[in-house]
Amino acid sequence: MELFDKNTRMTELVYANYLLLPVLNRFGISLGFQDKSVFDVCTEKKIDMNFFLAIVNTFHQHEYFPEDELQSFSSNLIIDYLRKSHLDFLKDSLPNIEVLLLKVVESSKSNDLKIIQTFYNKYKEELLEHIKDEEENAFPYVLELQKVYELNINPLPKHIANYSIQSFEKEHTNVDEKLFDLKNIIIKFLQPSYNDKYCNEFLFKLFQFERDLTDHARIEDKILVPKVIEIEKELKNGN
Amino acid sequence: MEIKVIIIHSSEIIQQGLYSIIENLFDHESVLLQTTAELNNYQTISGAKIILLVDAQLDHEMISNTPLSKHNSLSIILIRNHSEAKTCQENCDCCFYLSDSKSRIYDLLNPLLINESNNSENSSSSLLTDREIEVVKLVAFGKTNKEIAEELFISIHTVISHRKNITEKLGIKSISGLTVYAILNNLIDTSTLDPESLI
Repeated sequence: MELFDKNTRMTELVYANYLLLPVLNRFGISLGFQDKSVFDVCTEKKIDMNFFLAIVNTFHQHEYFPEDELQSFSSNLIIDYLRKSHLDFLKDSLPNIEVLLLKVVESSKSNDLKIIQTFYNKYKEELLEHIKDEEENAFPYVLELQKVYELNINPLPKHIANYSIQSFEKEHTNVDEKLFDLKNIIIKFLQPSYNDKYCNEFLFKLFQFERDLTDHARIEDKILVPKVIEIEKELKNGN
Repeated sequence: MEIKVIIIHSSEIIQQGLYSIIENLFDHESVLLQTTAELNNYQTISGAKIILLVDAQLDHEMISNTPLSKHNSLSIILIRNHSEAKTCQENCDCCFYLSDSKSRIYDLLNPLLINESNNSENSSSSLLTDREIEVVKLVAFGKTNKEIAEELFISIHTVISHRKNITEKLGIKSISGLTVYAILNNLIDTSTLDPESLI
């Protein structure tokens, strides 16, 4: 598989992987590309092209993950993208998943589907809590830390000195596990007493969401967190 | 285990040629790299079986020392030019020549790609033993490993090992997931209690 580069036509990118569509939207890019290349669109929309390419390439090719390059992007850029993904999850992915799940539940007379719904709600609750924690605690901390670092503020403000990113960013494993289990229980163990077509639609959406979420978690765990740890180290050694 | 085929060769013609031969034979998409240094962009791969097809002219010392070998099982196969002296035995499993036939590549890669699917078949049995069912029930009721150990008169270590086997057999990792499994399979009686409070 080849990587997308600045000369790749935007249309090629979508044909190569239509799951990139929501990713494009997060950069403020809409369709109607004509013959425009990645370079054209990024220039037009004032998007950091290298960051855009890094995000679409790592999303499209799961094996490709140039950690050093990725960590060189500014925290603001990374957090801005992560926040837009959060918004997408909250306003789009989750509500859609719920509508589809409700259709499956209503198509069955079995109580088992209610159990699945309860499990989903439990999963969602945890995910929302996780997102809220990042939005309200982790991200503001990182942005503040970046500012302190850039302006070389000394001594460190207390709320920075007393914390570290590891106290905020908990591992994603718990949340991810539930999503994985949800899929697996339906595919492997749930008696198919529901409308198959509705269930397929629900699962399609769930697979897509899982993929999106995995990519998102990887950006947080493998790019943002290591980057912040480096800054923290440097600040602490400097003081 | 996931399988990754990575082709490292500076010639695009050879890269693309091998790529399409492998795609044809095994329906497997390879990753194409020009230099060994580009491997650094793939260091997050872990728990996979990686088959590296590398130009014999390149520094393959560096490849055998790649950090990828720590987290993956690595097989390195050298791509040799026609002009290179035959240092290996006929049909060895460590290299092939550009003049070799497609069937030679098939013979070389087939064992590496086949062995994988056998492994996954072995672990697919999802039948729990009676003891494991006992453990699932107690987990579903929210008991800790220590409580389960006391109730079943076994050591915590044994409980942990049961739980590991259960997760592997069922493909369910979270506690609430196991609870859902227990309810769906009528392992616990939900007539007297609200399933919602358990999950």
